[in-house]
Amino acid sequence: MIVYLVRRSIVALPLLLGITFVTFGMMHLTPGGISAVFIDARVRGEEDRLAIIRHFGLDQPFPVRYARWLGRIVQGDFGHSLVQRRPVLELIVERIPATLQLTIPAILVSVLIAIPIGVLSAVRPYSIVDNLATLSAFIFVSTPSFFLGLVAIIIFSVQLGWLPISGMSTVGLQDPTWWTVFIDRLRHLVIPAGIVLGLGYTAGLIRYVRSSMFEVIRQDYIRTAHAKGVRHRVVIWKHALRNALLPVVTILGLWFPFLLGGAVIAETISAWPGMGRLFVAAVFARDFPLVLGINMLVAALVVVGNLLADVSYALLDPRIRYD
Amino acid sequence: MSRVKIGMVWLLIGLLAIGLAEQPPVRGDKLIMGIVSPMVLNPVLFTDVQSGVIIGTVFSGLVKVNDRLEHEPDLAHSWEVSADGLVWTFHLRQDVYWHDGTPFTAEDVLFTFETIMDPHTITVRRGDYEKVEKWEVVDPYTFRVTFREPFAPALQAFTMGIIPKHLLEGEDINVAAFNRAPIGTGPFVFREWISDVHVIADRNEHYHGQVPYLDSIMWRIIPADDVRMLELEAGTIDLAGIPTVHYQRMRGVEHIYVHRYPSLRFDYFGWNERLPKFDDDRVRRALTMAIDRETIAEVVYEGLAVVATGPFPPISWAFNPDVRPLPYDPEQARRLLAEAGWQDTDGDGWLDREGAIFEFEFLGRAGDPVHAMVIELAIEQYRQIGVRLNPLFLEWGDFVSRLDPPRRAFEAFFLGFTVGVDPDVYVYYHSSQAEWGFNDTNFVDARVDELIEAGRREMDREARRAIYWELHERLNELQPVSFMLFTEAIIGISRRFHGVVPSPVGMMWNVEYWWVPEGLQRF
Repeated sequence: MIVYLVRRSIVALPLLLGITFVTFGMMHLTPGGISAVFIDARVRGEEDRLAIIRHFGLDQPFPVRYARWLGRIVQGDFGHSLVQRRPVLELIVERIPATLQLTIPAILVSVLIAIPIGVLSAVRPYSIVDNLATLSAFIFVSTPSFFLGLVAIIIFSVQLGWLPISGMSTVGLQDPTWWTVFIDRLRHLVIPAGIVLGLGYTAGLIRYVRSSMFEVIRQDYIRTAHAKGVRHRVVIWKHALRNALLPVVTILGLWFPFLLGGAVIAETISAWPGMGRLFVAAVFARDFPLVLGINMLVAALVVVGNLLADVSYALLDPRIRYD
Repeated sequence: MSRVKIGMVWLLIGLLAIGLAEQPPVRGDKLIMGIVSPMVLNPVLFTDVQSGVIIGTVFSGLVKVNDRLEHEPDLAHSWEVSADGLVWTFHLRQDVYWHDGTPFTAEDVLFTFETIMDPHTITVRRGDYEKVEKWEVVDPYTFRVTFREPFAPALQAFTMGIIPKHLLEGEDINVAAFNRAPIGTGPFVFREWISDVHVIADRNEHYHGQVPYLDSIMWRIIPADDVRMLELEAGTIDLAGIPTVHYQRMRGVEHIYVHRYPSLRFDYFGWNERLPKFDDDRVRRALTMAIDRETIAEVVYEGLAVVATGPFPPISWAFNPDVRPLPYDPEQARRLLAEAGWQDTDGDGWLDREGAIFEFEFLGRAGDPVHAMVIELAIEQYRQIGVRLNPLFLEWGDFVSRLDPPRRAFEAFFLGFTVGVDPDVYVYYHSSQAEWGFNDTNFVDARVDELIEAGRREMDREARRAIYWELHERLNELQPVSFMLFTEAIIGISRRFHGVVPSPVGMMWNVEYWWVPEGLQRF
């Protein structure tokens, strides 16, 4: 196993390199440049314009720029954001807590809802529970999350007044103890994490759990377990589920990068200061160092996520060995 | 009625009158404004409007602008210009302190302008000070600027926010931590900036002008327009700009006062005059006359716009009220185009000349509903005179780069533009600015050049006005761009705030005078 892990880690390096090369290349090829930042008060005069371009090294040919950037990355220097004039690493790290506060609950909620419902659907196919679950999944997967978010805000925040409209916290919260702040944060999370992100993730997961479970309970060993007199509950929730979760683990591994990649739509609607918004704004402004910095992070997470999925696969299924 | 009773009645009326009379302003309460994210809080470096709003409350300039677009004293209590128009002397207030307690002096002013002119500083503001020969600190409270030639727009350039020498000397201003935690001399003191969440500033108890009544201002960063409007409606934010599409709905919200007022912004069609077909003022006039601007104002801008006849807003002193807008007249347009050699010789419905039809690629901004509607109407209205507009909607960064010098890779485009407080339009319409400056359309006219240059040198306001009135007339005749409409700005603010006076230069120009009656205060 250790050998396997080491081998995978070594392979990851050229993979990351390849990803950065492709991203750098795409940014380079994208029409439009740093002028988008200055349009409201456009640079007057040739010298000033050229000075800005030279300062940011934007006049160099592609291989030179890539090599320079790579050289700095290896030393841990991710450069400065062109737009915000701050170190890229600082900007990224600043966003991590808020992003995790959004994505972890979303994934947790979706797992906690999708697994039980998926199991029930598989065990009682075409029943009311199953049909309702399938229909809901279909609706939530098809509805654009932006629309879902706005509707949720209009219903739950504006008309019913149960939830805040946007943001991370209430301005002027009375008597802030850690408990009231915690509850306040949860209330602000319901729409972005629970509804916008959560429902989308849940809908997808339910289908996976259901189909995987559906197949597993038709296996011979399940029939054997029933025949041996094992209680039905135990058969389903201990034996069948454990096997059915294997593809789900793979999915969760693939979702790992979203933990820090953020979710730009949920963040934009709910004014949540996450990584998604930072990234998209950087792309629109052609803020190369920031785009590449976040891209590196997410690429690394993709690699780690896949690794975690494979390792947990081996842990869950004793038949699987990596040597 | 007995005398006593009559007396009592009068007494009651008197007391009632006193009660209803304007209460004096009281301190307290907080203003929450919804904005999109600011970039950098340094007056020398910023380029976006959001940063500008916050900077305006934290920093001060030598002078400031009021709601009538006039210049008032700020850090300078008085100033004079020499007879030859070359030397400006500013007399600075002696009671001004930076937010950290250090006294403000002319050294700070010198430092600010030297930083701007320093080639190492990444700023777009250098062009404003090109004509300065010399900056001088005469004494700690007297600052002198000597120009190479008389420069009338100078006063507007001195609204520039002044930065503190004692905190920024020796620092690389482009990446200084100061840009996230500014110290200024303005009515509000910066407290904190949590990225993508909010910026807070508190009352400056030692402000040299009116000490604000409000305790603090919080700018909440809410990127989605629709959500910002919902927050305004719910009362969880107090102030926000209102996009045209939300105007009617927000007017019906009881606790919000919706202000609409003329702004300095106009929309126009830009033509690349390097192309022979656009290098003819008859053609450009025709292209303007073929568009029904009044209807567009009604339909697209909900009546919140007026037809533009030049780059001068109706509220400006440089605006010539005798200049009539070109009429909506497709027939006349066709005649003008015919004069320029464009006729439909082959009966296909499109005008042509030397074998090519009159068509062009027209750039619009993707995702902008106003752009989409205006361009759709334009396509139809141009078709009626035989001109073919081929629209291309581009993402903003891409759009902007097409306009960039020196390549200017465009044929025509639709854009909005905010003019400055001073009517000087040198960078936009002077021939020297065609290659590298803002004169994107490459407009060249000798008389316009002369008038622009004269307008910049003339220090006497009345004489200057005559120059700009003539310039206005000529620009309307020549249509360097097809002037479309001056749009109104719409903002919504909670009714509990008193003292709010909208102005074309921004809502917060007099924020230190805003107050909330005691009984209505929420924080």
